[in-house]
Amino acid sequence: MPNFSIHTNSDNSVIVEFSDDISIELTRYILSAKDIIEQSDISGFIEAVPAYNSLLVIIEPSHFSADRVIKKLESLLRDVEPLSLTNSQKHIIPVCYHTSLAPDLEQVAKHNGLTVEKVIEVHTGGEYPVYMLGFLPGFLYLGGLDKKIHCPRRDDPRSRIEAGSVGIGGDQTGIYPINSPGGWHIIGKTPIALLDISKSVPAIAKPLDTIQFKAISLEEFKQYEH
Amino acid sequence: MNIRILKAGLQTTIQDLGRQKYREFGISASGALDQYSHQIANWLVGNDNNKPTLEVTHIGPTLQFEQDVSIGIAGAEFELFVNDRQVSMNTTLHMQQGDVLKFGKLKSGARAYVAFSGELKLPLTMNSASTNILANFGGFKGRALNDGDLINLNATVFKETRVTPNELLKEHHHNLQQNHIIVRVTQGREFEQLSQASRKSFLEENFTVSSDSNRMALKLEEQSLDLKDELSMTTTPIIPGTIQLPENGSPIITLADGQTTGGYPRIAQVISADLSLLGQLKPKFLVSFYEVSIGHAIKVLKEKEKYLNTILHSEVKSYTATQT
Repeated sequence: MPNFSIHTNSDNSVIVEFSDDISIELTRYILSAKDIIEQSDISGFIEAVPAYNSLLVIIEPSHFSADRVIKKLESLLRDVEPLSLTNSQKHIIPVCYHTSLAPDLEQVAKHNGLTVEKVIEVHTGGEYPVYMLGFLPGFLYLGGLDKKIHCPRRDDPRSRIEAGSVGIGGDQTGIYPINSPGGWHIIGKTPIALLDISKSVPAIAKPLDTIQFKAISLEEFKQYEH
Repeated sequence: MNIRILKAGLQTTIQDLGRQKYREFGISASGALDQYSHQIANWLVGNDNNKPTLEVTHIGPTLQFEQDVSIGIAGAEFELFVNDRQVSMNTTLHMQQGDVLKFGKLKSGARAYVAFSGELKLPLTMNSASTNILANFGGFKGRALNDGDLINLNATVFKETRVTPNELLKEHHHNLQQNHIIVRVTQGREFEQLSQASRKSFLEENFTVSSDSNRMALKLEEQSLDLKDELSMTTTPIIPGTIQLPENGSPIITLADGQTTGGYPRIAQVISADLSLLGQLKPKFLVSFYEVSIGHAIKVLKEKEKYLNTILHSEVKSYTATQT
């Protein structure tokens, strides 16, 4: 298990912090730690929320004793094996990069001295591991964006970006799961839903899954809508 | 029968105590911002404390009832009328078929809660009836109510007439009156990263609630805080009550609909016992922060819960007025 320390975060939570750099290897340990905590008998346990290099453990406040929870977690997390990747899935997400759905594609190309076609080629050529979910319901924090198409966020964030929009913000790429304000450059749109609230696992992917984007035409995009 | 929404008000949503266990998917709890008042409203009509209520924000709705039903209203102090006759909050109100309930002027606080005897016919989403307006699910069609909406209610009439005990109101409302709320906080993970002067001003100054606030977050206007040194943060999980400090120096307090993760320094955390107070803050209200230890925060919460439970669940009869 990588080095970690546990701190009181609030009167109903503690946070496990890892000193290692962000990596898939670290994420495997964090998710394994999450499973162990969920299967343990910490009294008043509500939920554990994993992130890049931390894991928040939320407890019913009337059951909360920071010292007791920290001691318990220290012993639970002493010998953790990294989570196996056997349950990790690869998701192919169709994206339409047509100009009408990609208002900033040209800007990303210009910024990197590439053609629009090259940006699409690089974007669809990558494999993007899911590190964590957060920010918006069903939003996937993805790694692995090729340096060739990095692009700083827009100076003037949009007040509304439509669900399904695919963007680049700095060194990250991602998909807006719901309509929301946002500052990323929009380079395309997927017709598929990232959030299904009728499911017990409402997001389309989980940490350690990988995402690949597949270019589709505007006609194909429109077919999904029916 | 239906509850007919004649006028929806500024932002009237269905809320209960929220949904847990979905933060790992980026889905926040939602639920009543002032859960204390939400529970009192439910008690007034003999409901379990998790039954959905209407959360009324700043400007209240006008409702009409197609059938007899008992209702309870608690929280922010509104003028209240039934068929243009003034009535009181914090007591069971027995509505008759065709009665119109109208919210008037808001006198203190920001949000009130309306509970109904019987069952609101609303589907549960992830085990909760709460509305997530941002993601457009839960509650009534995933949104705030509109004029003309009809909410289906399997109405019953509650046989008692209850009155909220004064002690409970005092406990919650004593600092609502002056439009200035003092909120107790514990230190956040990056509190020590604030400059010496900022640590002091955070705990001593008054902050003004910005008009840019909503159910996701309370934004504060003053840009008075800074960090000792530049700090590179990695996105971490946050929870309701987490106070973050973005680059502009104005603190942001996460609320029930807020993001599950954040990337700004976490300077403080509102204690669980005071989260309900945050729901009573309106733009232009003042808020100040008082630091307590985690141990004290837990003690305060246990006392508050015990108090609420004792009064609401034991000797109910002693607070029951004669039915008219």
